Amino acid sequence: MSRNAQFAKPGLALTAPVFYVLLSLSIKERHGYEILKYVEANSEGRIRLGPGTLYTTLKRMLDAGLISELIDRPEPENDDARRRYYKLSPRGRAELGAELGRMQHALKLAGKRRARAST
Amino acid sequence: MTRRLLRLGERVYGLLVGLYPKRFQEQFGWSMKQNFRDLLDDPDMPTSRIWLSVLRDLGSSFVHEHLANLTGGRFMTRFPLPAGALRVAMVVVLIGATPLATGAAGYYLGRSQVQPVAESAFPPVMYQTFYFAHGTKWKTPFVCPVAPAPGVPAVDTWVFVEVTGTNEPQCPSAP
Repeated sequence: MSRNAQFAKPGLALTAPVFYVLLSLSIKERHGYEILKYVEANSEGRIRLGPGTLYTTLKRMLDAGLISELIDRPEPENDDARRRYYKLSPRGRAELGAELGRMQHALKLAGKRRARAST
Repeated sequence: MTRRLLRLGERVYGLLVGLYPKRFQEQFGWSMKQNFRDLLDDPDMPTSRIWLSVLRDLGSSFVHEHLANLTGGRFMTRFPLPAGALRVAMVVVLIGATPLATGAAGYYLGRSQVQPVAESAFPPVMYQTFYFAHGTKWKTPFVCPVAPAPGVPAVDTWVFVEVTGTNEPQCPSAP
């Protein structure tokens, strides 16, 4: 199965790093370190990506078309020109939406079970 | 952290980045090093935590990327490898590599530090190993020129000669 095909079936769970990277890029374009900090802060320290894991994850996501590299730099005057910025692709947005939907469904199901157990 | 330590840390991390597949390095090597520099510059991030995370990171991402490189990406699944399996694999590799590394180090040290034993001053001849007692005297076989008959030229022949102390055996003088 190719890398692209692995992400082609919506509804399959994403790994936690992929999910948080998609979430971080759904707000704005970011470079690697910004993504790393966002993931750590928003997972309340439960997911700490090192540079190696971050860039292997970004590579997979680039290959799968979930994200793309930004050509126009957001702040060219205040930043190192060699930094790479990433943005969410339409496909990545769809995957994130599907994942959030799956989570909502799971939460709803768990809520129903809880209500049934308490009655 | 001093500037010198920062530079050293960056250099060490640069070497670790060199362990990733070449294509990956070309694509993300600079970004990874920059990311590491950002981590070192971050005042909220203790250096020990950075190095711990980097080493843990290497254990998984490095193996993943090499396997993906070898299998043309077929290995890369949506789910990460179980951390336990990776740890077991690393321990197995370490256990396997340790005797090899120790043997290689021992061989190198043996070659480089042990001087050869000085050669014996005596020529390597039989009398050094085949002493035996003959009556009350020590004798050893020795090649000496011996004439088979009177008037016939001498020919080198094994004869038993007496040995005294550590002196070199001497051929018996002609009668």
